[in-house]
Amino acid sequence: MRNYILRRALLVPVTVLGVSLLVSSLLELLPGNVADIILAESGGFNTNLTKGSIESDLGLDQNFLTRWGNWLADIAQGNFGNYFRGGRSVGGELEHRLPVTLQLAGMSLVLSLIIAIPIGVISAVRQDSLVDYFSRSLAIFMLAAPSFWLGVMFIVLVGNYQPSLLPPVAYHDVWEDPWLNLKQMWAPTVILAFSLAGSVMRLTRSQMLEVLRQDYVRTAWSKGLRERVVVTRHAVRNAFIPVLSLIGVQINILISGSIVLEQIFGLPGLGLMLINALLTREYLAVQGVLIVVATIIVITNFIVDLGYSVLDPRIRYT
Amino acid sequence: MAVREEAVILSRLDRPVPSLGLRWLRGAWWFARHKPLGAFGALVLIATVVVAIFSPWIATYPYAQQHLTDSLQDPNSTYWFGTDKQGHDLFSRIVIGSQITVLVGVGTVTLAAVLSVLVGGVSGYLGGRVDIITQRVVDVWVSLPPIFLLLTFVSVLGTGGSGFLGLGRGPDVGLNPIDGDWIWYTFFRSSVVILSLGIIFAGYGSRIVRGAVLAIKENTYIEAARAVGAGDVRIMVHYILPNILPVVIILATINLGAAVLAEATISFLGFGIQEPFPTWGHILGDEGRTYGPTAEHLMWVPGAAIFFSVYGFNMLGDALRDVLDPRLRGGR
Repeated sequence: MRNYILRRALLVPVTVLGVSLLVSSLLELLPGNVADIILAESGGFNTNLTKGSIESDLGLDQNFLTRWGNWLADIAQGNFGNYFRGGRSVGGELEHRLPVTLQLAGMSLVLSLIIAIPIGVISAVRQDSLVDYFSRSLAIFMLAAPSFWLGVMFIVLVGNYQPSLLPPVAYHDVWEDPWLNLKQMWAPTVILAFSLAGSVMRLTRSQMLEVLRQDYVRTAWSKGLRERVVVTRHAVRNAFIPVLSLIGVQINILISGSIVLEQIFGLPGLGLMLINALLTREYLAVQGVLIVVATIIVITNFIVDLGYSVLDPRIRYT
Repeated sequence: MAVREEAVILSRLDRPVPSLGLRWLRGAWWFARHKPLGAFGALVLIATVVVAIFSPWIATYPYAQQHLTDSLQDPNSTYWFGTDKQGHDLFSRIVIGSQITVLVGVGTVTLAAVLSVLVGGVSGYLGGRVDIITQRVVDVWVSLPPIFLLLTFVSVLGTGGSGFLGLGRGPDVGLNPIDGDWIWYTFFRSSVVILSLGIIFAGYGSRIVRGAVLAIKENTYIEAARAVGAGDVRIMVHYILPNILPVVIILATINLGAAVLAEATISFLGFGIQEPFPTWGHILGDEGRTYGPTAEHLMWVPGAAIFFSVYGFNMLGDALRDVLDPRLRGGR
């Protein structure tokens, strides 16, 4: 077990290192002379910019491996470089935006579990009932409804019929004004949770159905335990383990989904930062966002794997 | 009695094997009866493909034609789905936009399936050091959210202008309906999106293919094949490939909806196939968001188009999975 954890932990830096290699090789894909393009587009915003300074910022004057090494060494010291326009530091920007995305993703994850797990459990316990049928259709709808459509729908319909519910335009930090922050965050949170809940609901249901047919559940029934006890104590706990592994996959979907909702609702998170950076060719910012996001996902998956092996003692890793 | 039963069985064996077409028809009928939602999904897919291929003839107006006096009309008998700000006929734009849905959907899953089989198959079959290294690369690949990767690829490679590798509209095939863009030319236009999405999806797919190959590798018939002197390539192509085919088919259909959704997402954000070509995601993200409050149909129509195609494709994928390989049933 300890061996497994050690080996699994070792994979975290290896994967992050691999991601950094991938991310920094993106510049190689760019057609044309990057420095010229950036200078032409951003020169007007920053008079200190010269072709030479852009090349040295991006490391274009070095070969690929040196560039990668230098970039890594800089990041290790918390230096993600500066924006070409305006010269703000990318690291500072990341620091501001990461909490927004994490808040949105975290709140949505919790909300989707609160919605999905009870419905999934009930729909398995009352299999083929009206509740089951309804919740299955709902899950299918949740899986297919694009979150950007729901977002636009919300803005348009609420704006037309209940404008007082529209989120305030300027973003407010949660530490600065929790109430205004919540007013702004609740809608994207609900929409993101909605698109997530579908898959959690379906997995919970199918896992519960499997567990409910196990011998130990029959034993629990025949001991004369009440339904509530059988379901919550004996079944749900075991059905939850695969659901946990799904959450690992969902982190990916959560962060992907947040990019759209951040754009629709004007939340200054990592997704919006990536979109703006791509549009203005701020490649250092693009690289910064990608490496931070990948690191979060790799670490989350590591924690989920650990939790999995702790929760399910049947799993033995050699 | 026993003799008569035997006779019955023998007479059944005697019956000629139905032709391939008949067997397919029977299979389709069985599928439609047992999986009505799946059959509905198959219909949605077929309908979308047909509409996409014949879109220039189905569209009632050229998609770029402006009717400035008929700006922001509600759906009516002239403009079936209404018009947008510049008076473009929304029906025609949706019909033409279906080309992207079909091309990106089918193209992506085909490319992803081929790459998944190559990477996952070789990694699982050879095992050892090759497997370890390949899996670490896949680890890296799947640790970036697909939309983030896709946005980055697409904006780095570019989706406008001369298109991928300077192919532009692609070679002229002499078929150029009055409305301009037939699916053949759209294919070259969307090649960057298809290529990027296919490569991104292949990372996840190769994991599943690898798992299937690992399970099949343990069978005794593989050992038998090796004993009679079959080489690695022969075993992979003749013994393993046919057995992982169901997994690959399921994977492809299940990814179909996800591919369409991913394309719609980046088009919504303005990174997809560029103007003036009308993609569903872009109509929703541009006209729908800007003029939705005054003309709600601009939000309902493209959104519903995306929703129903993704819904149909998902249903088809689920049903095929249940029929071909129930073990893969999960939450998804």
